[in-house]
Amino acid sequence: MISSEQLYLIAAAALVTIGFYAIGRSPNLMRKLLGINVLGNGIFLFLISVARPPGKSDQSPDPVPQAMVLTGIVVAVCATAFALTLVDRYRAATGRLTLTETDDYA
Amino acid sequence: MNDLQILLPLILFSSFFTGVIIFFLGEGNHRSRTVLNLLGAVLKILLVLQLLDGVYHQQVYQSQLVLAPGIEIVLTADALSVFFVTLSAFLWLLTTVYAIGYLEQSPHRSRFFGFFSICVSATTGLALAGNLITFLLFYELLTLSTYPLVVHKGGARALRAGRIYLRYTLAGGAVLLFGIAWLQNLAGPISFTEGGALSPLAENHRWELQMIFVLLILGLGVKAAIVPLHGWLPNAMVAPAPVSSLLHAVAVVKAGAFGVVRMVYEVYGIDVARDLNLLHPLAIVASITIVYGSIKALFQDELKKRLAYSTVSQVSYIVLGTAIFGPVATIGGIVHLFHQGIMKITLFFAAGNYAEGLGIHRVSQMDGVGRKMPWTTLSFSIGALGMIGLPPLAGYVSKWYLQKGGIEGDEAWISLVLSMSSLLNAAYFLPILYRAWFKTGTEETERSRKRRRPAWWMLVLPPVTTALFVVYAGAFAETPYSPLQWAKMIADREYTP
Amino acid sequence: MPEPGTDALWLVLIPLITALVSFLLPTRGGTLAACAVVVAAWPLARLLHAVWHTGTVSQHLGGWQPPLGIQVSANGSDTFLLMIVWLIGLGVTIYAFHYFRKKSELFWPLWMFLWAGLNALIISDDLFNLYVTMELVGLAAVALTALTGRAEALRAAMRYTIISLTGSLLYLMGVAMTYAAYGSVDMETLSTTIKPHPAGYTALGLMTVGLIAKAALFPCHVWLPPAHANAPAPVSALLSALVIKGPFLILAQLWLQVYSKIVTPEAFAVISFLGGAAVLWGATQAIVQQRLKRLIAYSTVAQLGYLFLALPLTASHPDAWSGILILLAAHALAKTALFLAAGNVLHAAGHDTLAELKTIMPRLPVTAFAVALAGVSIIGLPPSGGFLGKWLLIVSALDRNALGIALLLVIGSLLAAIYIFRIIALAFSGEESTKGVRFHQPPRSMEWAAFVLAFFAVLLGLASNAPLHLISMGGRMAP
Repeated sequence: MISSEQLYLIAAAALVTIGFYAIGRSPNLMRKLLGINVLGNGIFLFLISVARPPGKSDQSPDPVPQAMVLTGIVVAVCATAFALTLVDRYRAATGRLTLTETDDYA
Repeated sequence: MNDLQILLPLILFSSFFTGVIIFFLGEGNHRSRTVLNLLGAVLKILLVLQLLDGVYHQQVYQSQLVLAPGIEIVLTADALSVFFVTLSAFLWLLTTVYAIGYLEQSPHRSRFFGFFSICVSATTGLALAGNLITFLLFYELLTLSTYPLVVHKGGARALRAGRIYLRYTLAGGAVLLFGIAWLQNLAGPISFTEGGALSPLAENHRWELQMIFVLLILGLGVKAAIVPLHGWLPNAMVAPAPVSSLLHAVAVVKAGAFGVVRMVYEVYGIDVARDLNLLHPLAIVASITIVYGSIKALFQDELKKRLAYSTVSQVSYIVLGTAIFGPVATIGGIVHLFHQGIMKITLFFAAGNYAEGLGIHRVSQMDGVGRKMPWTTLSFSIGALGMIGLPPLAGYVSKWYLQKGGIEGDEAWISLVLSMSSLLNAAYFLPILYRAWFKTGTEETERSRKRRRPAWWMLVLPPVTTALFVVYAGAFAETPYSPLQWAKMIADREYTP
Repeated sequence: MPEPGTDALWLVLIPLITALVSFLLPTRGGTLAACAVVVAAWPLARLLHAVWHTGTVSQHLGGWQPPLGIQVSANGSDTFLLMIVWLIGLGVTIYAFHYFRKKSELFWPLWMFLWAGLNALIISDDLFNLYVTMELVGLAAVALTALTGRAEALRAAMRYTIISLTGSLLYLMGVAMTYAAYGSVDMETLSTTIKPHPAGYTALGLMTVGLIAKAALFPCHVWLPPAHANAPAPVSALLSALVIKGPFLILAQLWLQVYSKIVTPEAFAVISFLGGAAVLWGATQAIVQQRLKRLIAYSTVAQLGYLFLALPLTASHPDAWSGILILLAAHALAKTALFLAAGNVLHAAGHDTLAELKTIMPRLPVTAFAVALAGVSIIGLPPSGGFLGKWLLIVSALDRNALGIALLLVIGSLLAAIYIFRIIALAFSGEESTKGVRFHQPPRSMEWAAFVLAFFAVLLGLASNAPLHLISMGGRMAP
């Protein structure tokens, strides 16, 4: 039987893996960004599950990881907003949504 | 007592600050630049004379600045450093005068004289260096400040010569750095000590000290133009004559040779060096250089290149003198540091005059120049005869001591080397003298003589002065005020325990 | 009388506030930034005074103690870094004022954010705070990279963004694992409680990979040259000199302080090897570049390699850490000078193709001199800061019989000499015909900003007693 804490950990691991896969294997920038978001969420999930470690479910949850997650979410939102704007400008300038290997300099 | 401590830094900065100020002078500011140049040179000589007097009377001068653990900048004035500093200071004044006249119409004079002054500062610092790390600092500074002088003319040939120059000198500097770092790791910060500083370590670290010595000689040998590290020197002839004179008589080449002298006597100590079997290989390398340089000189038609190879050969006399155990050979090597300087600079001054005044760059064009430029050619002749070793000129004195030192040190084979070198010197100098005095010039060179300038005395006075000194150093060698006596004093202090 | 610790916080607050205000007053960005730099000198001076006399200065935000509260502190090394950042900031601000000339108004708030983030990074004391500050720096840096709006710049910025964000998340994962395993993110606490444990190894590994990517260590360096070369000159300077050093400093703190008990010699060997590879690769690539800014960007890759190369030495030699910091600072100053000089050249000629600069460089003597002085430090010739750093490292390396490290330090210098003198030789080309060649004299302040920074790079090698003393004070890292 998988306990609920373990479930969270497995979910977190899954999210992280999906995120990495998306970042590494998708040529499309939007997918990469989504991957980054998913990766971030996986880490946050992991952190949340650390707040209530197994075997101590009677104590109040640890506030530090929660604070970290909150901060992390804010940072992620800002980063995503910026990245989306950049993708938008990039698409406007080059008409593409993928990064090419060549042509790094004009 | 306090003013003693600032004398050394003052000597150093007298040329450095003038150099920096000159950079800011506009191109058109001839008068200020000339004044500054000469002022700096004269000031330096005055300070050096005071230093000379002090050291002669056993006065001790030292200034230091701690930069970091293990990096202490130390300036000291011992007999050997003062010897070199005096040579630099006097020749700097003469070369400055010469350069002012030579470069009269050239562009970028502020840049030239700025770097020129810094170059002399670097040489002075090198001469006054009291420990290995200070020596290294000024050694590298010398490389940096001479590069702009080598490439001064601009254009593909000069830049190429500059690249070759850097390749050799920076690589040499890196090897030297490595050697010094290793040595310092082994023995702590090394100050130059009369009689050597490494005798306590000699038994336990034999092969390490030997390896380090090889590295040090390699690093220094580049500047000292020891074969096969000499390749940059003939190429650097593309620089203007004042640069060639300074580089080959005073600054770069002498710095390398001076470094070798310091290493053998005041870092390792002559006893330790002999004990580690370092002297023989050094003597052999020096001998090969002496002969090779002379042979190559024979085949050069370009005058400056012939003189360049001659320098390669002659500077190794100093190395040879250092490599032979015994005070007499030491005297020969050290005094040749001075003698070769004044003789070679005379030759280069003359070569510059031929190039600028008559458009002559090759030996084959030198027919009859004696009649067209008598004073220049007379000076040239004295320099050349000195190189050959004709008494009573300076070169004869150095060779005599080297010969005698070799025999006394059981190294009689070097007499063969020295004789061969004299013969070869004669072979490549005498024909020039013959051409200059006894052949008649062609019409072409007659016409280009019209390129006389108003300041021609600035071009003639320096070589005449140095030629006179060549005669003095040789003829009056036994008087109390000759370079020979100072060299004897130095050798004395290196050998007495 | 405010506590000395708050001075460190002011160094973060002043740029932050300035950034916000300059969003509101876009046209006044330059003036506001200049004011910020001047105003920040006061808390910096007070901080220096406090650290000089007491060793370390720390502050708990809001009075909350760790692990709940955030602690910031500044020891000697931190203060030294803060001063270097300030100095470079001053030079770049003056330069950018004339470079941008009322255009690119976004530069100013972004630069202020960057500065705030850098200062915060330097004084942070816990792993999570480092994440936040690193993100701030990273976002500001990426935005600055994209400033010109041209396609190549956007592409480079895009790549930089992906790598930066991913790297940060890797780091965050490591932080999360550390917290899970050891119950704290405070660096001081962790350095005593960390024991060998699979979680510890994994955490450190994740953080290291993330930081290596962000620091552009070989082989994760590919994003750097396009990003630095396609940005405007003042931005390139900030990126190469300061931004890239942030991840390195964090990594150094992790390896040498927080996780020092579990780092193995093999791991040190690996990272040192990567550093050496960076030195060789970066330098050889720089040598073959045809354009000035790309050349300088590859030089950054090489110079950064030195810092990683020398990391193993710090375990046994306190001098080695000083050497690394001096090298870092000297590089920051010299690299800024180089990029600013490149900006001058671009301003004058309209391009930066090396082969065609023969007629331009001779007409920019101050800039050429700046390049020469900066070059001397980059190569590591005496009497510069670069030489001092390398000397301290070579001596430490030889003492530990780490011959490879010593040799690489020397070989790196020789390679650097090749590409530096490629630039310097242009100034002596002797060709100054001005017919048909565009030449706009750059403003005096731009030329002199580059020169003064290069001068400081050399000065660092001469007036080194005070900095070295400062670095050793209150040592967290200095054993």
